[in-house]
Amino acid sequence: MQAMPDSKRSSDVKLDEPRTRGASTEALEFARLYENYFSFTWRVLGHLGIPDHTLDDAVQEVWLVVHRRLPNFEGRSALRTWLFGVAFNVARNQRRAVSRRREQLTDEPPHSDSPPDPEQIREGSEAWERVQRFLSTLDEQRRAIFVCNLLENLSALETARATSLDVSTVYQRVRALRQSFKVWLGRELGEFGEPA
Amino acid sequence: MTATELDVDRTLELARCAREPSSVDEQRVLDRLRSRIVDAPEQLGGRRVRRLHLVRILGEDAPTHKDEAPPMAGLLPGVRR
Repeated sequence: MQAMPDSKRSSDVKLDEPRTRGASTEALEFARLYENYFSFTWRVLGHLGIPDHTLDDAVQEVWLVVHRRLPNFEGRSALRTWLFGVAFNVARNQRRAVSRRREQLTDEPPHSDSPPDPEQIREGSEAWERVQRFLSTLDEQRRAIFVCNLLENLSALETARATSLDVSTVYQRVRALRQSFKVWLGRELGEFGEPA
Repeated sequence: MTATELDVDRTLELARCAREPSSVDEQRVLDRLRSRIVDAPEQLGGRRVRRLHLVRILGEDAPTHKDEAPPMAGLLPGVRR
């Protein structure tokens, strides 16, 4: 079975026969994973509050962990679920490290370093900043659920696995989060004008 | 003002797409990743063989086959420790 680019956003893939792969196969799988899921890990870390100036470090850390743990990945969960879990832990560790240094990580919306395509970037940036402002009001667990399910469109089951919650709790929280976001967005639009 | 379900969906989709990395981002992290894997093998839990395969695939100056079994474990030709 082959990994599919995360941009296709279809049901996830699982690695074949994880216990019997050779080193060369593992390396090929790693390279393929990196190609197909780099964007996913980049986006997730950004949405989990990693600011641009430390995003490279965080993404790199995720892929070092993936490289180390790939041979033990048993395929019990979808790859995106597993990768989300790795990214979530890396983001949490970075937050704690920053907190220990008493630096502010990211209650402010991060600024993009990417070169702009004016209209698209403007709309995207406004939406991004709105979502970030909302995310900054959530606790860690609800933020993870929001990113996992509502932003990255992982299923409730995948979200439950990634966040170590039961599915019914995820369903409840997703509904509540979406409703909260809708109300919050209405206030934003009322204050700042047109939708993103 | 009340947001609609459409506003919610559109905002979420725009926010998701706004954070796509560029190919430059991807290559930059890959270069750094390769550097860390080669320069700090202990961080990979001593999985030397798999690391070497990774370097071979990811790196242009990857070790040759005979380099995979160096007389001194953990040392790669031309690689700084």
